[in-house]
Amino acid sequence: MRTLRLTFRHLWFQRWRSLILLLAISLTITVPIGIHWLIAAFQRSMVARAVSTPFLVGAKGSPFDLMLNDAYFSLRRIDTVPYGEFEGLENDGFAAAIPLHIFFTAKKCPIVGTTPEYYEFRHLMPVTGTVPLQIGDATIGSAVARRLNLHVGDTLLSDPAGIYDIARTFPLNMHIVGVFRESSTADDQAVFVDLKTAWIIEGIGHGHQDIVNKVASEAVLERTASNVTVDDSVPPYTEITDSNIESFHFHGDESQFPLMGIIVLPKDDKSATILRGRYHVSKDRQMIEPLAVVEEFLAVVFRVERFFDLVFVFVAAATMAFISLILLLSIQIRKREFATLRKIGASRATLVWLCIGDVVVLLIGASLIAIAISCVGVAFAEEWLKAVG
Amino acid sequence: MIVFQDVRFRYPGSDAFALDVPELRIGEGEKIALVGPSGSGKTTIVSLIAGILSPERGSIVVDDVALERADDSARRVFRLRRIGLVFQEFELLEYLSATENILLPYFLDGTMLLEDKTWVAVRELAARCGLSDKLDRLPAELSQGERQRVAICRALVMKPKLLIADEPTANLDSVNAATAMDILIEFSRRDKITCIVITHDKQLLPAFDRVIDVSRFSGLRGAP
Repeated sequence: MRTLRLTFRHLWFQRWRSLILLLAISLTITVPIGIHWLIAAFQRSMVARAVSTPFLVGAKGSPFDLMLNDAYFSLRRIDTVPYGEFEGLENDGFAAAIPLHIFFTAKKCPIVGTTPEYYEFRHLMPVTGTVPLQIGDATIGSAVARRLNLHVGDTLLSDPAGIYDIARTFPLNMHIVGVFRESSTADDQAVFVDLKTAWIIEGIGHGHQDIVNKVASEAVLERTASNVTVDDSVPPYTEITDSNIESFHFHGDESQFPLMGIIVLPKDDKSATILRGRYHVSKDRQMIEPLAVVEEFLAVVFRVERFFDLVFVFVAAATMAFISLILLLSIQIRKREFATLRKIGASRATLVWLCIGDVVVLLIGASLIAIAISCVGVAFAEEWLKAVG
Repeated sequence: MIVFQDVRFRYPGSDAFALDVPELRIGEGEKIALVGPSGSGKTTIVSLIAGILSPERGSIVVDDVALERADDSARRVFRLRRIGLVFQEFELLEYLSATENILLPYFLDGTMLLEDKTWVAVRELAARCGLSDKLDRLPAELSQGERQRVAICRALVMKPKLLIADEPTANLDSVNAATAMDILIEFSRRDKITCIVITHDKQLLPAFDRVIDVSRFSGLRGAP
């Protein structure tokens, strides 16, 4: 212990050199440890969400994009499938199905249009309020509530789809009727609405505001036989209220309304096999197993990780070479000190320790720092990954 | 205290220098000055006494310990606990404070307890060497004279039986040299420590009981 004291005193005396070495070694250890842990956390997070989503049906295209869009709400521009596909699945009796419309955002949070079955399937329970009960209602994930400081009774405006689209519909001002309990999944980051609400945001369904009769006359800028122009006191967004809810309606064939995907929960293995076969031969639909897609993706990640491992071996070797050089130079500089200690009566073990003690203490210190940084980093990353996945 | 009998020493691989000491006796508490020209073997003879070097033949007994029979580890422990060494260049550890430098033998001997009385002894020792207000300072913050006094305290802290000083005043001005010698002589008198000092300074010789010219033991004058 007393020789350890000498080591610490020497490290403190050379504190700038010690600090630089400590940081250099910490960094060399942190990066590979951090990446390993991060990938492990990423894997856990991805797999957990994928496992809880047995099958997804969507338009033919990238299975990965379909999975990211429908399971992780990471918005991708994927093709749609008609609502009739969902009805067909329900009617076939092979599986329970949950429709998903995930395309729009509100304050950058994905708006998930779905049915109440989704909340049951994901075990989402409102911690305050209720699930969306009528069009225009929204129940928000816990992270959305926290980030945007929203509560039941507040409103949330959907983001405009494209400001240069002159045919665009107005954003929808949604009423927040509930906040879901934290689930540490992508659901925390989403705004949940009824499927019809999502279609209204898309412009498929709409209501009518009685500009001609109900808007104050001072708001009217110009009135012709076929057109009324009003000033900006008339809100430039749509809001579904008790007074206008009856006016909302949809045009067209509902079975052709768009969905971004359908969660499919086969009744048994046989049903799953039949559905697999059906979608295998389909030209414009696909049914994916998120777990298989995730595993395929993770295989690529692990290959990249192995490459990084190789790089880190070389970096570690170079760092160790530098540390050895510093150690040798240090021994050279301290040669006279060691000779004096030998004369006074220091044992060989003490002298050996004094030679390598600096490096040993720095390595231990750097390892602890690396582990601490990795733990903190991964904890943050895990939270983020949970939210994403 | 110290008995050399029929001792012969040569540096390995060197035929140019040899030290032959047929007989040399130094009594307990004696104050000895070792003199002789450079290369005559003064440092070699104290290294033999301290057990740092081993003779080619003959017997060296120090404080009833036959050094030629002791292994390296035993000689090391003997040196650490019974011999205080003072060097010409002080050889303080630059990263330790004066107190820590004084306590260095304790740091090197893991079996010796650092008790409260040890700290008291260090403070008393420092006070007698005029270092009371310098104990927290690093060697770089001390004058040459103060550094040598710290080195003397380090040599004395284990209460040695034998004090060996290799030209302790060579790097000091006359005032500091006199102070350092006074401290060495005073402590060796008070505690009956056998004191061997290598010196070239003839003015210091009267302070010693005996002066030994080492050149009479060396085979070849002027060798290393």
